Amino acid sequence: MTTGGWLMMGISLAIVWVGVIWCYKLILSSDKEEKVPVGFGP
Amino acid sequence: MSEQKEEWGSKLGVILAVAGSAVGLGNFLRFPGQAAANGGGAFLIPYFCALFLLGIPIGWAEWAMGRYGGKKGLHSAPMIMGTIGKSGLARYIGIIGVLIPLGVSVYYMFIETWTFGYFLKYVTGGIGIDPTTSIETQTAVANTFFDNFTGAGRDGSLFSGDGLYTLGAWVAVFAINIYFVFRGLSKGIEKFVSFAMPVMAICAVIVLIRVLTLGTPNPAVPENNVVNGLGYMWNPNYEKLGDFKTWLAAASQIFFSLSVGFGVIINYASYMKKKDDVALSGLTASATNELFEVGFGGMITLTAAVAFLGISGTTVAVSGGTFKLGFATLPVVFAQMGWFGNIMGALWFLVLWLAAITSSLSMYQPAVAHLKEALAWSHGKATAFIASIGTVGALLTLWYSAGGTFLNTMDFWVGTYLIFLLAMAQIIYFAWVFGIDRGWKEIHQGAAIQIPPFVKIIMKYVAPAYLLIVFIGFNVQSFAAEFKNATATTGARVALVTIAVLVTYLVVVTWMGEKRLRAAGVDLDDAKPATDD
Repeated sequence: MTTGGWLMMGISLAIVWVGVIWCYKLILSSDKEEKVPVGFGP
Repeated sequence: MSEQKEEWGSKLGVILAVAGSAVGLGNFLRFPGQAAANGGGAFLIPYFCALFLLGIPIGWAEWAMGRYGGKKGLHSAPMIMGTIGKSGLARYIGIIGVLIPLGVSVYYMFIETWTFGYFLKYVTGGIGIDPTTSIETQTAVANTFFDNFTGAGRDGSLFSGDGLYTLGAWVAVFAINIYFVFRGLSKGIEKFVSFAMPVMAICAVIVLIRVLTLGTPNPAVPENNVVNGLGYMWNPNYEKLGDFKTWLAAASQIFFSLSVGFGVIINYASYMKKKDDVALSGLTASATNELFEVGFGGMITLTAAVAFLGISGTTVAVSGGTFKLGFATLPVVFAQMGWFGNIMGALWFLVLWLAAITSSLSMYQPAVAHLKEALAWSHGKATAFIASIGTVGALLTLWYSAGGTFLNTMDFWVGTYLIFLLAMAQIIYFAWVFGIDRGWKEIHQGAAIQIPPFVKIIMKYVAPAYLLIVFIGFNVQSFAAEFKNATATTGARVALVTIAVLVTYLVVVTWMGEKRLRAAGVDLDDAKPATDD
């Protein structure tokens, strides 16, 4: 495995893992906001 | 319009359903083969360019079109496309959005049957490869098993003798699919994918960890090791970036992998609530697909193959095609793993089966929705009718199994050619007829994220131009040859007739539906744009 190989693998994995974690974090936090029981909102 | 208003149970449900539809065998088998053949790590440069400049923007357009149709009470691709495109032509082009999933389902469930059948074989002791014999002998055994299991030798061979095992596995796979489609969107498809997607991810992680800890399986051949396996997949060959074919291969991989232009997203999104987010949902479904493709597919398949078979053996396997790599080469790899081999095989084919069934479950839904909408049929009646069509199509696939002539013809014309055509029509109607400014507003209605403004230019100019160039280029260069192939064998000719019958059926049902909906006062031409109130 060349340095270029490690680099491409590292960057690609970082893109997909960071991307998927960021997306699900946003989705789950917006889901939580929607589920606030009636009477507890502003 | 239908017996009961259908809706997704949760925001996550529709995302997992779309992601499940996108994640398929191509993520684990086709992607690594394409990458290795087109520059290794360098392939990921055009690949990510295509993802951000083509796949995700067209996906956003499809999500927005589907939700807009849903606001008007429409759920089938023909009626939604007719509304977006404001014409009868757009409505009848929209038929392709039902034809693709229905046509692909007839052969896809056959491929799904292989994954299920192999999974059962590994749970009950493997496929009979003796690891004490030479690699050549083991490969021959694996190839013979695969050919017999898929009926590759003779038409009709799956209806007698050992072929009955495959037939039985198909009956089981078909019954499971119909059961969940019959249960409906929220109780059936959503419930299953909400369970299957996490299970698939966990199994894939276990397989990945095992592959990455293989080290050097045979100390007598030290060059066959995990690091060289990763190098085979990831070492960049930047010279390939100067080749137009590499960029085309990367764009094609992204395009087919994300399931844009397949007819499923537009239908699934139509069941969302009026102000549900589509921008982040579309992005999340794409990100999930990419995790399975790059994060798992790119790390498992070729790494394991090189660690046991070496670079030359893996190169031969990759050149044999996607199916041979997954169903004939990897079983030889598992046979070298000792007692853990059968567990590994079972886990691997479970991952492939879950990837396949989460895709196949999405394929009947657009056709069921089309019937319900057009003829006001009940969900049960529509599902039963579509299941009957699926059964006839599947029996043809099973019968014309020699050389996969029926399957390959359907796959090319319905599962490849028409996808390009539909995606091109969708993005043109969305950006140029519905209007990019209106479309942009529609995408951002209820959106949890703000999409960068340059994506608007991509949607209006770059994506349609790219698709148009590829489509015209293909027609000029290869249409005649491909059509000649499609008329060369009986299986291929039967596939063409099947496509013609399906098109006729869909035109008639759409025509009847248009008549019925107009009589009911439904605005099919978008004369009065849907409001969000």
